[in-house]
Amino acid sequence: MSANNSFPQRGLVVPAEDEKDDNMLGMTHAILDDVFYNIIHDIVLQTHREEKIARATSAAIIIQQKVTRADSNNPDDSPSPAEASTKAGKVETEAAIYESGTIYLKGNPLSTISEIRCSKCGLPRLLHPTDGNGARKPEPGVEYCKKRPFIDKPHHDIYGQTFQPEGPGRGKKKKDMVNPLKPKEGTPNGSQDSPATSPPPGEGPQKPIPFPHAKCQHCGQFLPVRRMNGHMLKCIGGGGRNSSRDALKKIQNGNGNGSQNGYASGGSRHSTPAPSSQPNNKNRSSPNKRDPGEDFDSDSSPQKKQKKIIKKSVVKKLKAPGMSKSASQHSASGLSFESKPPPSDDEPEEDDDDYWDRKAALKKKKNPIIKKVIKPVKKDEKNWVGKMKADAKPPPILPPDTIKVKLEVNGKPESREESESSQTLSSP
Amino acid sequence: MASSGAVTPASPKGIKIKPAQPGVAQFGCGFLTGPPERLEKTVMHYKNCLRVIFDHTPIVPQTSKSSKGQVLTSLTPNYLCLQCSTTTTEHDCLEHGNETSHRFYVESKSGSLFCQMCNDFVWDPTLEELRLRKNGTGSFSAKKRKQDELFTDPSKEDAGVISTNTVEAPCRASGIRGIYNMGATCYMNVILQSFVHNPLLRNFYLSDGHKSKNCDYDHCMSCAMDEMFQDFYAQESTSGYSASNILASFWLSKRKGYEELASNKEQDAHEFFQFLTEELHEINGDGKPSSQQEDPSPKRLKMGSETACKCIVHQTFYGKLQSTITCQNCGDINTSVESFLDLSLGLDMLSKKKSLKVSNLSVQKCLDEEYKNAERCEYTCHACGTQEAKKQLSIKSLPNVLCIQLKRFKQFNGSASKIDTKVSFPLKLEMFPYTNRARGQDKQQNFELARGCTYDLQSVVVHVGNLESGHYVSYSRVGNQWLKFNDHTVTLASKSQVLNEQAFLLFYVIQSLA
Repeated sequence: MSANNSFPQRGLVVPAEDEKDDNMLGMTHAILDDVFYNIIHDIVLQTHREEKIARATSAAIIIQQKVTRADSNNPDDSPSPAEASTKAGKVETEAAIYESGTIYLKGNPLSTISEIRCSKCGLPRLLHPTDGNGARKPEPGVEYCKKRPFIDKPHHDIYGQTFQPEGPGRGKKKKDMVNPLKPKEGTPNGSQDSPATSPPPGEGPQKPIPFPHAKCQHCGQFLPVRRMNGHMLKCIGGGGRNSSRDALKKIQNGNGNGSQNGYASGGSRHSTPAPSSQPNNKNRSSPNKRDPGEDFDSDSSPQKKQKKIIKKSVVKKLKAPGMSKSASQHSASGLSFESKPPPSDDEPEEDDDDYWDRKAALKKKKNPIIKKVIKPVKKDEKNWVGKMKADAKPPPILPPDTIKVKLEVNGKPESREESESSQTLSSP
Repeated sequence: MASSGAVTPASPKGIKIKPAQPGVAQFGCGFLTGPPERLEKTVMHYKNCLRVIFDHTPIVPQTSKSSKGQVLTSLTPNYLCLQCSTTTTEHDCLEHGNETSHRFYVESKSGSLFCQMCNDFVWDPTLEELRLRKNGTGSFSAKKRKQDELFTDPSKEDAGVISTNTVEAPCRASGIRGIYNMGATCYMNVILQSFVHNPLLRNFYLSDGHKSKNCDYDHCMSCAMDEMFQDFYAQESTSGYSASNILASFWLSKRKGYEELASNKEQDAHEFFQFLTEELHEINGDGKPSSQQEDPSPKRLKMGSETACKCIVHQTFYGKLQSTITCQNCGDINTSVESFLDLSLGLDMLSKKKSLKVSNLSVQKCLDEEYKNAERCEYTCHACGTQEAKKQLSIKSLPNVLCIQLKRFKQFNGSASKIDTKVSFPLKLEMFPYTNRARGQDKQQNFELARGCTYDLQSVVVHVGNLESGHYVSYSRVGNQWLKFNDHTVTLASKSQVLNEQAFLLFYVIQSLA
């Protein structure tokens, strides 16, 4: 009890039980009280410090603004603020005194100042969040500093956005720049991003958030930011320890479908010493080449067909239906990819058009498809040539599908049917 | 509270009143105003009070004499009279003031100034700066102290230099933004976030520390970082940031030993941290970015010779470890010093030890284990050839930003697993006990040094989930507010939320800088 007497009672005073005169009990109570008192004292002091400094600064800013306003009213003042202030002499507000360039506080800023001003822009700070926990409506008509209190609301971030507002957030990254040559990246964009964005765990209902696009430093392509890392693997990749293994695996997987020694894979990783592919194609003698070729045809033809149809139908519109016969003529000559300019004796003007068109189509195809396509084409040829050896004129015999892959010209007869039908519809 | 660098030279005689600045009140309250001589006296007295409070055991300022001559030692704050050497309790403070008309008092726990005329605490710009510096570094001067091997020189990051070299950022730009996940890149995002909120790195980049315009290195990581800092602190945007340039630099750097890190798989955030620091060190250091043809172990070489390196990474993260091997037979001592980027604390080893209860493992306990307690080691003494030796690790110099890694991932029988042990970590970390100066020094110096060895928690990187499908999340402190960064989403977080997380990486910033 002696301890209790000598120490002043302060802090949180817990009503002691008086039944026992236990020294220890009194001591522990006193110590616990003091420790709690200290903790609270520190927190309050910290908050007090922040608030009071902010208000003191606000007082200084307000008077500073007043001084500059007063200065600007006196046109004879020199523009330099230091000189201006000397002329302005003493300015006084409720909270502070301005005297020859120095600001003195007057009274306690906690009581004299009610708003907090931003030290950068001089505008009042918004003191309560506009949404979520502890939100208050800001006073209308007041321009606040842009630094706002953070918003604490479930499913919202500190700026109160459900992660990204539509429109301006995308900044300079242009969505339109998605490379049209890569439909794989471009088309699913809208549809695929929205499911992709919803997953952030526990984020609740979402509008689809437009993810920005970023430019790949390496190849300059614009693509959705979420795919960047995957793209880097393809674009830069290569150096990693695993990448070679990955590539190998990819090749093997691809070969699982059948084309064991196609040329795209380069064959370097395979032990199977296929006779080098170039002469092979010319020889067309290897027996094991047959099935992959067939396989390919069945695989890729639908895709091919679609393209072809679109292409051709456009072309056809320009053409009179009768001219299409030229196509069949060409088909005989068009054995290789380099389709020659059509013989000039046949439809001299129109076919020219057709030719350029075809060439353009070829060019387009060359990049993405040739590599994959070439080998089956060759196989086709081989097929074809085998037959050719047997019958003199194989092309008409072959089903249109297979040939189309190989040559523009061969595709024509088939597409003609389609286009014809469309034309009959549209012609009236 | 921007300080002008010229204030407070080391000598106690200089003029310490801060020059008048537009938009800042000269004094904390109207009663501090007075002729210069009086002000100088006030500062001197205030310094004395702070010395009493911070340089010695807290018992001195906590002990007061009542008017009846009774000596009291209190746990709660006392008040030191600014004008005389009296220490009073809060209760007796007013009485003393009435008797002597001494109206200013210094609170004994934090050193804050109390004005009896205002009946309130007063935060005077000049005095407050002194207090913070004394409290933070244990010294009044901003200059490096003579005996101060413990700290790397922070003077380059001096506020004055920075304020003159930077453009005022818009109020809205707070540096708080998410970073988009670019496809399993959350390991990168968390490290970048911790960099963005690292005061040293921030000041370095915002003060044009890396001059992108003059940089001729292709796909420079530092330029990418520079761009990121500019975007974070100078743009008003509140949406996420896409760190594609950093990713590209990362992919293109092809660093030895980190090649496999760049992939579209989940990676270890700590490894990325190591990569990033090394990369930035090479770019910003004296050495040019090493070409790939160089010998395969530039890393090792750098580790040895980095004492000379003044690059931002070394100034920020690197400290020095001293290992002392003492022969148990002849007492021969062998010391070696090596630098460290981070302190790794093994959890699996510790949890096996009986002495530590797994239930309440803390960072301090792990540090105790590694840097305080000596351990036996394999060593053959040069002098006598005995094999009994004790190895003592201690920290020779502490970094400005201390990174602590809790090794949550372990290899066991060839398969990796994650340790989910909860390890508590403090908001304030005292590193002094783990330094080599902690052993046997005079008390007074220790108090001062210990103040300089206090760290504040700045960022926490957390790994959630298991090894196969995990996710990294980070927390960072902005002022007193904690924020949670989950890729491009930023939300508020409470201290308790942060402290209850299963930390993987901890970033502590030395208190004097915080």
